[in-house]
Amino acid sequence: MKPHLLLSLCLLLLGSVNAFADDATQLAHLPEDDYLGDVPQVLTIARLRQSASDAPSASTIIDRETIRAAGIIDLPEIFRLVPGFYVGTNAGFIQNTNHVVSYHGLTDAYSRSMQVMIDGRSIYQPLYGGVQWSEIPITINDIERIEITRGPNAASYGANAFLGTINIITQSPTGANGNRVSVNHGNGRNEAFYHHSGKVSDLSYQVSTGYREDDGLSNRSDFKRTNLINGRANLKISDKHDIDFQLGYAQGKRQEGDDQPDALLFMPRTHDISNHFELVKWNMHLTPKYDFYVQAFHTRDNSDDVVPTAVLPFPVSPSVQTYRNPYHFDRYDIETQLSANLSDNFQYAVGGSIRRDRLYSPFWIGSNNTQNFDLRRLFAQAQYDVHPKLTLNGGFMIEDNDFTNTDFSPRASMNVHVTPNQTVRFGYSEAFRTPSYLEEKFRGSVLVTTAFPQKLLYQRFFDEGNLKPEKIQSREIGYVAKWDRLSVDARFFHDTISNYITEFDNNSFVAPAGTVLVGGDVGTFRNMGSLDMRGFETQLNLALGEDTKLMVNYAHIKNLPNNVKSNEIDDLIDATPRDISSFLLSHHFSDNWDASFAGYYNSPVRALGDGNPVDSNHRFDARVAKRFKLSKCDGEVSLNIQNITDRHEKEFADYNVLRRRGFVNVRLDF
Amino acid sequence: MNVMSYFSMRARLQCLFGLVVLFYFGLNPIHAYAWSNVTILTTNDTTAVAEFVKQLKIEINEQSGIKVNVSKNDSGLSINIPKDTLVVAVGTQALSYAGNLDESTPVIGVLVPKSSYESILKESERSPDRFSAIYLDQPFTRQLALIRAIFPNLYTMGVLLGPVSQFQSNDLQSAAKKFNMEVNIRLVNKADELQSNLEKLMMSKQLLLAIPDPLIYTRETAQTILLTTYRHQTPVIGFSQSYAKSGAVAAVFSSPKQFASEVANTIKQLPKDHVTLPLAKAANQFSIEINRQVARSLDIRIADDAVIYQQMLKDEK
Repeated sequence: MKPHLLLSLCLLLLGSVNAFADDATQLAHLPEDDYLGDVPQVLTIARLRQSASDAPSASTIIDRETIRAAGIIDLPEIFRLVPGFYVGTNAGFIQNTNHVVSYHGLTDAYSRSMQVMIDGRSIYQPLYGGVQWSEIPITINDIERIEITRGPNAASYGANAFLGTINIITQSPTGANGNRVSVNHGNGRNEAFYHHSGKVSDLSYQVSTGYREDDGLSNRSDFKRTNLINGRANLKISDKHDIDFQLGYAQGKRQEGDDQPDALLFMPRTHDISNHFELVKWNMHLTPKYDFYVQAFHTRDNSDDVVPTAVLPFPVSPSVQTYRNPYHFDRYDIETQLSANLSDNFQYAVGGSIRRDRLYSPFWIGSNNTQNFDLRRLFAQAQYDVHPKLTLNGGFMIEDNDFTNTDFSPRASMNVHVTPNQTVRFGYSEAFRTPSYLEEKFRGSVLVTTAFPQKLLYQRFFDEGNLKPEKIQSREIGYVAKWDRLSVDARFFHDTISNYITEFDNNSFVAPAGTVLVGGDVGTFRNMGSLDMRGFETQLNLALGEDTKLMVNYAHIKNLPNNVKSNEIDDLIDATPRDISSFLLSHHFSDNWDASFAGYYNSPVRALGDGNPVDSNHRFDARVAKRFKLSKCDGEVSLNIQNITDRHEKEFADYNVLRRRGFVNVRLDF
Repeated sequence: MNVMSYFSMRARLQCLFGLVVLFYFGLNPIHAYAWSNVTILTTNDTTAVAEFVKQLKIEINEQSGIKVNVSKNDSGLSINIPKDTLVVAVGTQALSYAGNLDESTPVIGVLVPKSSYESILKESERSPDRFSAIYLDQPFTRQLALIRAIFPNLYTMGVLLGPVSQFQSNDLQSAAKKFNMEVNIRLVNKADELQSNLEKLMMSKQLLLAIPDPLIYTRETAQTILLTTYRHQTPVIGFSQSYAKSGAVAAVFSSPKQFASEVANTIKQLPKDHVTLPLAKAANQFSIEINRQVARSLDIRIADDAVIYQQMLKDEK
């Protein structure tokens, strides 16, 4: 969108803003009600979160200002600023090419070992596991903060909150009336978003909509076109009851495919995706000591892929055939929770949820039937201050699901407040990772009819099923300190993953009558061996002055596979970068000018699955921003350069080459 | 001395003592207190007003000989105050009505913010020594003392001022100087400027000191303010007990009971035959409310209420 168009839009909408400006009531007398009147409790128990020094696990909070300062354009990029996180651009080419975000390694294209939620709504995909980041129907501007738990968090979020948890919290409507237009233009990227918020009677609402064009990386078939819209509203029924409504819709085209010259399957193509979600949450603020909510949501993902393939090891006609890979997924979930604050020394929360996932994926599952997956959960957790210097946390989750039946995940921690500023935490927790459909039920195959009397079968997977969930036992010693200008978060961890799920050759597979098996081994997944992960990680936040902030992250991780197939030991060790670090330096020169400089490093890594060895990465980004006032609009224009040294950075695999990229962002608030 | 004469003398002494007591407390109470009639003028029955009235009646008990009447008038019309009556006007509206009374009627306003008192005083053209008040607001020094007691190392804070409160800017700045604190002030002129001003203030400041203004701190805006500041992990120091309960980290305030006690003391201490009232001032008695849940969540460790209170008494001086 051109700047003058933006300005016109801005001026057009000013009319509606002026109508509200007259609301300003200028009373000559200050009424005493402001002092004596009752104000409803805003920061209720459910809204308050545990401070870092009281929390049972290490956590990182990324706020709007950090996202802004880091010049983030693709949401997953922000996780480079979290200790121990590895981010790889556009990993994979099979099912929705996306960023990979992994914690403590074991990186593959679908990084299954982390739970990801938006406002408590799980967006973890059941087919491959992991998250389809570019499909999320929210904009970066919609995000209020991101809470990342480093370490298992099953007691709070259940299975798959395995190595870590990401909870993206979107802004709740405040009732403020406003509009925002944000336009981004740069190398291979154009996008424009509009956000409006307002209030009608007791209903506060906001709507975001926009369009994004991403041309992806050079030499990759990975362009993306996305239209999205989302809305959020809060209806205040009384001081004690309010209802949150959320919905979102994204739709677009995705190009993907294996661009390597010897590619046989999953050759480049373009396909349509769409998804939507609806959520309603009834918050009940029963008394100052008790909060209760009931939440229900539904999500739906659709993808209709027509995949060209040249599966045949010998020439037939036609040499490239296509097959359809439709995919529909629904998730229905109802959750309820009671939070209580019995005293300043004792708080607890209990709750439960039921969920049904419905998956239709005939190509991968080998069945035209929709697959149902049911999940039931009960959880409880409590915080007890035994002494001003000692806080205990305990909690558990019991869950029962159709793949692995009943799992019990406990967590306990002891936080010793050595001084008012410093806390040492001793923590133990367990969590499970439920096998994905890829691991439990894949029967993916391509059947080719040729001139031969028998059909040719390319069978990639024929899962035996009955897998046990992967289990993690995590022990940690953490240190949290906060002084006026410096805060420190550090931890040593020792995690053991047992029942590690890995790929084997399915030697017992017999091709059905009338077919000839071609194209190599048939795979299945089995539980095998265990893995120890040890290391240290830290985050420092330093205020170098009133206007200068520095964040530094570092992690050192070592994997030690035990009883794993000998030919996989090296794979598992190498799938984790040994050292990962990053920093973000930001400075405000004045009220109107600010700049930031970020650096990211990770040691060499060889991702599992579709990845291959890549060398260490060093990347530096810079951003400069100027705020301005234009008529009644507050504006900001910023220039953001990624990889300023223009190194040939390779991420996840050697086919992902990142060069220097520049972006200009213009934002207008009115 | 025989028994009779002893008895007689004792009886006479007792009689005399009884007469003195009777005279002092019963027969001529007008000479005991400056005002024998007090009318409490109210315009509503809110909890705070009811609590104040109830407590004032208790504090000026019947034995004092002062007659206490309550006159509720929500229109401001036909307020009849007998002569020789002191009026305690409860709330801004009541004080405004009292401004129309005869000049000879002394008025003490209570549960009235300082700015409201000052504008009513100006409008009514009354003399401040016959038209006084005990302010509902706490002096800035007391609020700063609370901040200093909770955050010993804090030197900068943010403040939002609106159309009504902006005139207090200089007073606030000079009070802050005494505490070696710097105040960053942003003016909010219209309701829809609140959010953006708050966001800007949050970018660098470590604390928000709430100064009452009907445009900024209302029941309706509490959610916006408290959620935005909490999002920035910035503590708020409120100005009322309920604001602290709602989500501010702490607040200093005087309760209706404390106001009643102060008014009763003021009335009782007025010198006999003295027609002037002490000049308007803040209440001496105050309370603090600390929201320990919110403080805890913001990782702010606060000493016991009594310790903070003592520290404030020391610092306020």
